[in-house]
Amino acid sequence: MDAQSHGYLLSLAKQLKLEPNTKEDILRELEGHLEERAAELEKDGLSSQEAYKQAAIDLGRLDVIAKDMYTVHSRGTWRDILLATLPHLLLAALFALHLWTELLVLIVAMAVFTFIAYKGWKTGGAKWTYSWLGYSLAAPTISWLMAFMALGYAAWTFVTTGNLPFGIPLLILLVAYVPFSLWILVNVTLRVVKRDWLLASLTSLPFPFLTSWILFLNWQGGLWAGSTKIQETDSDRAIVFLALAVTTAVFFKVGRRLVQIGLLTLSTTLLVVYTVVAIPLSFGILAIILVGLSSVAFLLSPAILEARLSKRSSAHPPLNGQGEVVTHWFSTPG
Amino acid sequence: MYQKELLKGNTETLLLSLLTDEPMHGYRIVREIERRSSGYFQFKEGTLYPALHRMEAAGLLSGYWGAGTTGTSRRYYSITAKGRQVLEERLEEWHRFSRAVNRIMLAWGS
Repeated sequence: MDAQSHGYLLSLAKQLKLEPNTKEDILRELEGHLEERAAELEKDGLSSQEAYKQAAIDLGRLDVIAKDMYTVHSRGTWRDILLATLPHLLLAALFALHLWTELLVLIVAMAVFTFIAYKGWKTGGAKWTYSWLGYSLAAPTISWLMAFMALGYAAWTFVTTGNLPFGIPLLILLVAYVPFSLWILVNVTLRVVKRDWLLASLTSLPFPFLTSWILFLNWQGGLWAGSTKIQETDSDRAIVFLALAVTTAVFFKVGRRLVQIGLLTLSTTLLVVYTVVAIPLSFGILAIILVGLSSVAFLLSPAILEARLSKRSSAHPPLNGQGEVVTHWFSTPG
Repeated sequence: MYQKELLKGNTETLLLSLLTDEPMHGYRIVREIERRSSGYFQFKEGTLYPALHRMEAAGLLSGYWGAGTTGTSRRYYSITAKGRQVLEERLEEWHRFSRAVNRIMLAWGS
């Protein structure tokens, strides 16, 4: 294949934010089209290079093709919608039935989230997988945050009193766990962002609400502190996770990318404000606005990460094992 | 501009009609439409593929991989039973529409 044609398809590959199998099929189909058109133009007397260049021009603008293909393929089936909304519905049920206070239920729920996310990822990474991935990442994220805070507390205590608040074995465990859990999070985040930053946003959709819940629990003295107030906000939290399920369903049903971005932004803003207002504490308007803005900024931050990764990969074209530039990124079907 | 609008509104029906004869891949469809319309319709090639994929998702067409003329595989499209039913309905509507339009427009022309 001509280098220009390859460059054309490579650029299209970057702009197609679709599932790997779908993306591969589209690129293979358009590659066939370019080859056939170029062969015809060569018969008319054009050089191979000119023929491929003209074939690419005839095929049209990449951004338009990528946008149209995204609109067609990003709409989920009812099965996809059911699978994508299920983890949010499960969380809503856990809060509505006050089941989250049972440790066994929490462990089983985390195991189910992680297992389904892993299986979905391994079997092609269908879009619904990302809803499950969000919840399965909650454990390493929260435990990382808690371990990090514990280390900070230990360092502060040591500096001010000269003693450690806990034993050396636990300290070693914490020192080892913080980079390990961070490594897991960074790895998964980078993989998701490389595919599509909007999927990373969909994955992190429950994070602001899980964080607010953890902070609320902490404020009440922790999960097993025996405080009766810890279940006070359960109904509101069930409503929030139910609303996340509805947001996800609409996200899967609308094809247009801009509408999807707008939907996530608007829904997160409204639900964060609702969550903050529902907590039995009085917050100022400025605090509510700041929490809302930072949640939306967090949700849309994968876009910046993707832009940086894309810039870096443009500077270094993909190489095969022999150090040659890869000109064929998919194999012919068997 | 007017021709473009006419083509846009009838793309799906044209594609369904073309694929009733035999399955075709995208490039062949572009060429066949040009040939059969004696060059009147010239598809913007890049817009054809999203249209084919949309019709496949709607169950009007069925796509499969087959051998192409230049050695590499091609994605062929064939019309489904649902596609044939939709085509029949649209052709019926088209006949009624064109008869009504002709009665008005051609009367003025004559």
